[in-house]
Amino acid sequence: MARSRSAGIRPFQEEDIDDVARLWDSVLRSSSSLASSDTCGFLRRTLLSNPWADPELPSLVYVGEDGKIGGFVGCCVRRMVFDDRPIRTVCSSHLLIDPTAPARGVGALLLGRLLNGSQELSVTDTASAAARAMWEGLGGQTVHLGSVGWTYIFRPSHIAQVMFARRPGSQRWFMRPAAQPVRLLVDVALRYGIRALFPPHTGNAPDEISTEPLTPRAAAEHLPAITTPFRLRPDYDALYLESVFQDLDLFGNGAPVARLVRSGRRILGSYVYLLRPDSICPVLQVTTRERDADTVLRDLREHARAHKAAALVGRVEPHLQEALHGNAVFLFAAEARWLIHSRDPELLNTIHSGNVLMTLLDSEWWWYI
Amino acid sequence: MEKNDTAVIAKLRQILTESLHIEVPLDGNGLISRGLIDSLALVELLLQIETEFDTTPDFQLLEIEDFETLESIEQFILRSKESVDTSSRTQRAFGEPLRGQM
Repeated sequence: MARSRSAGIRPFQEEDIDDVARLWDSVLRSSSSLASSDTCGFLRRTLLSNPWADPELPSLVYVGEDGKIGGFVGCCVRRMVFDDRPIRTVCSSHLLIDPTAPARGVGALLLGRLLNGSQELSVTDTASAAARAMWEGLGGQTVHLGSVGWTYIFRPSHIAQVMFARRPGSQRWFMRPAAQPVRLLVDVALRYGIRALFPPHTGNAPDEISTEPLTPRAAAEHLPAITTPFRLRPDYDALYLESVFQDLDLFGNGAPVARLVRSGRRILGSYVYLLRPDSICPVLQVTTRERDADTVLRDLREHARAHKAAALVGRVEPHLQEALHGNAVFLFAAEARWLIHSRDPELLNTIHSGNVLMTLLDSEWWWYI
Repeated sequence: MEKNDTAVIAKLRQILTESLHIEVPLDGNGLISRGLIDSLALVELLLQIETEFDTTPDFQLLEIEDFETLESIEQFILRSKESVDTSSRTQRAFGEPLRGQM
């Protein structure tokens, strides 16, 4: 096979955006809520003009013999601190292969090149079974606890509606306006039933709790005091957080809610989630110490309930595990797995041991949009 | 083993046939363009190459064309071994005086 001059793997550039957006549309359109017209802006903002974008760690494209882009892997750089040492983490995302391209093994080479870059750590939150096999073959590992999700259901009938809506024809009567009283009855009965079976966790809640909007500046100022005890944690700055909050505003499938929780002057933590009234709301981040997690999660639940969320869904993270226990939270095996890759065994061990604060907001938050 | 196969190519043919269950054409061509090797098979092949030939592939230099024929895979294995040998020779040549200076 004669190699054309431009064929092969190279860094993703501004002029590739239209072609990669087309590839995105042909591969991911059915599973993404992102409007077609937003794809270019989304790729540009999250991969090229993000404040942490790093020319040493670029996203990659595969250009075929015909000069067309036949493959792509996104590289989102995340700055983190490991044992007080700054490290670069790469979040691998959007591994896209043109289904009509003749070369089928391109995905492995794109991923292999990305994982073997100069970063200290690579992660993904959205691995399918096939992607997991590839990652593990290339030296990656699965974080099993991070591949478990939790959900807190406020209105079971709405969840049933969402599920029935995905299966046309089944149980349509339940979704009709006339069935509203039945739905209300189901909700009340299940709510009391769940409370009876799983009494709310009372813990040692501080007396005076107040919350306020979490601005990028407040997050950069207050969160380090909470995150410092973790051996591996994000190294936020206000500019980066501002950019992420803008991305959530622009592309989030729901209204972003970010709140800071205090007890007097003491910061207990914060949370970020996407509010979708009458629907399932994804929780992107809960930053808190283990001892305050119950209070912060309680405030999150009350906020979501008051704003008509049907349910909250998030990822089980080590610092939340105790607080999630006994709070009528249902756990489920997530469809997507959390995978990690590093040449540093100490870094990998630290993640597996749970002494890490790495939330969905620090990785592929758009999976849940 | 085909009549004109080198030892490396014969081993590659065996790996692809017996471990990866891929029907390798007699001429050993078209492994990628005929869709015989997909991403999962490629990862498995690289693992087997690492074990059998004691060489670690450099992903920064690998291209999909390196897997198109048995011959091109052989070339990349020899290149990888050569670069490992060169770097260890360089280490041997420059390592001692540097250590001596300390």
